[in-house]
Amino acid sequence: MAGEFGDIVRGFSSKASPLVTGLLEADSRAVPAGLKQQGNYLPPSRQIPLSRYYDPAFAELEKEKLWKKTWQYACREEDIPEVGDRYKYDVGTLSWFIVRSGPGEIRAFNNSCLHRGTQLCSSNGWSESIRCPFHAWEWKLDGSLKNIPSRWDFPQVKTEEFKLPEARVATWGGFVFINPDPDAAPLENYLGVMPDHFKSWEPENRFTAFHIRKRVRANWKITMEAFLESYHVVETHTESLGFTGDASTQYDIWEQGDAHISRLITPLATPSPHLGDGASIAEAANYAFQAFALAMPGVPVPSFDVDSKLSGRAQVAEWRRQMMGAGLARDFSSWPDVTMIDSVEYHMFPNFCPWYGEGLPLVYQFLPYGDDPNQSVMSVRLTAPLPGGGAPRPPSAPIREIGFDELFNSAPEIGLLAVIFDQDMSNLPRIQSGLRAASDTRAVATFGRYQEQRILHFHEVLEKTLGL
Amino acid sequence: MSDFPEWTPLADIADFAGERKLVRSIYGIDLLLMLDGADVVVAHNHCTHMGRPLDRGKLMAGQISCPFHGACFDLRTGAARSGPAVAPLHLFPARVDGQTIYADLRNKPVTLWARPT
Ligand code: FES
Ligand code: FES
Ligand SMILES: [Fe+2]
Repeated sequence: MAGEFGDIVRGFSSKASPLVTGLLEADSRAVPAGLKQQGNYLPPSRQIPLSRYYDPAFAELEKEKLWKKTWQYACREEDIPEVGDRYKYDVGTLSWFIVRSGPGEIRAFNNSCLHRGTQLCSSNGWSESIRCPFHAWEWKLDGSLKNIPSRWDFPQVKTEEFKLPEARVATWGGFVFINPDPDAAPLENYLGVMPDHFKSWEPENRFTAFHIRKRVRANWKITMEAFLESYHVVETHTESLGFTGDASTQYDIWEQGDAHISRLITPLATPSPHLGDGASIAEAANYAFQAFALAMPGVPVPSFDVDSKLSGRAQVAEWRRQMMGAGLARDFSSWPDVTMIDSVEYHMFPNFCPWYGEGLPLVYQFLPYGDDPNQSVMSVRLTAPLPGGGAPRPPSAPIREIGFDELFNSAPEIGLLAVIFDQDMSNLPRIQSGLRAASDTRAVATFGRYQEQRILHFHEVLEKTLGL
Repeated sequence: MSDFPEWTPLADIADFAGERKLVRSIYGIDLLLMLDGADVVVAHNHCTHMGRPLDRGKLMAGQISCPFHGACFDLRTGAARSGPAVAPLHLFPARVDGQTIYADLRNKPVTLWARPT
């Protein structure tokens, strides 16, 4: 069974596992318009040369024409709550640091001393001023020059000409973005549908509950693309088929001027359509109960109630509303099932993936690492709603670094998710090696028309950005 | 150094006077006393990055950040957690008896010479 969109098939469903549009209609609560809205664009089918994933010249082009020119998510506001707090943001060999330069004021500076180039900020933290460890040239937090030791020896240095160069900074939903290009259009133009779609979920009223930075032996685009489709679930995450609508996932793209946004909605507590018309809905609910319960050790795990008037999905969602409501002293009673349990991932060009909802409240960021195009860093945050009842805002979790050859499983705080991430991670270096071994006659990637459209869309925008 | 007593009195709790940091210099050792929650931590007032004093630093639960280049140290172990420092901050065993804060200063850190302020 399939829905049609132009001449392509829009996902695959079964009697037991409908398409997302059907699930949204059956939701036990009103679904916000943003989640129901569908995309306005489908990229044409084409192949992509594999060389762009390892060619140093391509990486250099990205550095000059992409990273130095685009709005990019750097960190969250809660990472730098107090004046003097700073966050180091590296993109390959480029580096900036984001500073809380005053109450309600954030600035981003190139991480390089104006004397002889020393890195000014070596990691996240706090300092009174911006002070170079080599000869102590010093700047105020607003970037103006404060002091040069042996000032008499630098008669050629005019104080007003030695302000630290800045990138532009803008925020949305608690996220801090920078753009090194002074001529770029404002961030709003790039956010497209996201502020509207996320309004119902208030990403600004959340805090970072864990934050992992994983180094990966694969190009940043390869790493990112592995998280833009659910097509790989059937082979890579086989254990989740019992409760994951992988092939029934809905994909949407919005092209609006400077804004290049895409989204996937993978429903949970529903069996994979691959399991056929007779797949068990009760089992799908039970698996989902167990999966969510893993994040709440000690809590008794309910099971599907055959006598309930609620669907399996609605039962799981209702249980989550109650558990989260009690745990956080907040009221989730009006939140729809889709918000409580499903996996809803947005992508903003080039590398920012904020997820919507409590199903998987993650934030992904994919970045080149050092000067090797065969390596990248994936940052994964989990955000949680701010507790109610006047409780203070919890601090941002410290970053846990996971090395190239370490498992996500070495981070106990992320529970079952670690297993899933490690399955993805096991593919990535193999992709990077394999694509370099391709025959000269077949050194291209081929994409599914529907399920892999977000990747094609990304490449279309990338090529335009790079002037190819 | 071994002629120091085991426990040297450094200050009274009341000397914090509402602050969470207190500076003392005893036997020529620059000390930084800190209130970390209910714990009193006694550290060498000497950042292991470039040897600058830490007392203007930012004290947060379980850690202190150096005001100069942002090195951050764990107050339980002294370990350099982030920033440009690598070597751990020197911590002295400490205890509070009644109102008096004592530390064991016999294991004195090695410094080159008096640091600038
Ligand atoms: S290089 Fe920064 S002060 Fe000399
Ligand atoms: S002297 Fe403390 S960070 Fe440099
Ligand atoms: Fe995956």
